[in-house]
Amino acid sequence: MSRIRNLFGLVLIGIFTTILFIINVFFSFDSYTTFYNDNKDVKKHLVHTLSENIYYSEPLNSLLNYTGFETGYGFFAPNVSSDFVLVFDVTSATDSLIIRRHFPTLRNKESIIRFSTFFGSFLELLEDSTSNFDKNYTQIFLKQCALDIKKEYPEASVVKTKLYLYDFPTLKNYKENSEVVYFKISEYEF
Amino acid sequence: MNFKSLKNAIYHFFYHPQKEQEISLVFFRIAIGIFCLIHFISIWSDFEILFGKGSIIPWDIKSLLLSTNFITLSEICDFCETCLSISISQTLLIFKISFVILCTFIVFGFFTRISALLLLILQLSYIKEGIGFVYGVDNFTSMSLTYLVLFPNNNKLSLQHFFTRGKKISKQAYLRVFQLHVSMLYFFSGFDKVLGFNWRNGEAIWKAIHLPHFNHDFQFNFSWLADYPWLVVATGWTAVIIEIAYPLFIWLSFSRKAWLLLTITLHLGIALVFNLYFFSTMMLIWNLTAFMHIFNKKQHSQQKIKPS
Repeated sequence: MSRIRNLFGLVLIGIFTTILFIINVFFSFDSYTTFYNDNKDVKKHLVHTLSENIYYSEPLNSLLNYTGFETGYGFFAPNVSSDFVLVFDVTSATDSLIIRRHFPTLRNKESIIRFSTFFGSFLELLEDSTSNFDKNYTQIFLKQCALDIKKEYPEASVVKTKLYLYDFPTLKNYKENSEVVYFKISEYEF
Repeated sequence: MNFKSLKNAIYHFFYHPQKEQEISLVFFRIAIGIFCLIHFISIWSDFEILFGKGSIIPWDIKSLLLSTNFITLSEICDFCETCLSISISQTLLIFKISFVILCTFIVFGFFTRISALLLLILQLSYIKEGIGFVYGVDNFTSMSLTYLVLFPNNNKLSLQHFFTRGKKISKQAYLRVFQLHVSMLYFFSGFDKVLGFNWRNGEAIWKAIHLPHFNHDFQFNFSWLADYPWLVVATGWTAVIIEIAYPLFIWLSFSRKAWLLLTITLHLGIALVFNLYFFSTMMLIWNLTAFMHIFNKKQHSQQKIKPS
């Protein structure tokens, strides 16, 4: 009985580790092609397609989602994503600056880290093929942040919201020019 | 090696009981319980603005991004409001208190598997809905809770064991699965990095240490590194090698202690420079659970316990 149970255990372990391996192969291919190949029409490698089909097959995908195993592990890979900086200028009716803020009021450091993770979705705005949904979603997020800040200042009339792409000079160029460049991506008034 | 000896080797690898390794899963249970508790409390006062009804991203907008049918926090609140006449703020308070109680149950080993399952449901209910405000550590928390549901870990230092002495079973197979997962995790993390040319020329590590939302606590000035670009390149390659070679050197007896220490150093570095304390702590817990027993002097004296 114990032998059968052990054998069954080994089969389960084999299935589990194979699934883990396939998920990781899929994410490696996916992050690689996303980084190096912006053209979505490029034919995918057979292994990429196979691993993708397995990853998205049901009920496996749901099971992975319910257990947290749906993730890849390429932290900061293959490239470190660009980051963004938000500026909220709270102004009065006479257009004088009351305060400049970068975040809504968050009391904990961990909350700020969580809030900053949203900035990754701003990368979508840099692509030519950005959907209206992504644009609207970002705008709703910025508006909600601005309104959250605005309600803290009774004298506030408008919150000028600007989103900048943060561009730190590369290691190669740093000695010639060490200035950080902020590219304005979008600007709203709420 | 013939088929029989291969079969024996596999059986030995997964099922040969080693008493010293039992403590690893108990450590995992207690560490994850404490981790979940502290991590949740760390956003207690901002929970509403990140995940509650008054969230920056409204619940109905969040629901548009949900890919799988989860029981979401907003649905729990709606159900409590319409069917049980409990207000949303009261539901959120009950939710938060339940979360803390379940973490405590896990720490003390009180119905760990059921507690972990309930905690996983609660955790998924807000992280899957609040998709914009979650990061890697949340996935690791979900996976850890799944492992707590699957792994037997109440044999020591648990209330359940105190009241009901269950039969002793070998934990070897469970620990082996976890070790394989950790090894695979690091290999792919390193492999994905080495695919990026920016990791090979040092630009990735240079960019990472200068990201605007990191390095706030100690505010290290890394500009001097521009005078020694080879050092940046070497640091990037060191991170890649530690990760990609992890599955090899962590399993070789002569290098495993050194590799575990190198990996711990890597995560301490991430904690110090990027201030990602929770993520680093989670990775330390995973590493220690998987391989902490290698520091046990008695590891070669394998005491027999009842194999499963």
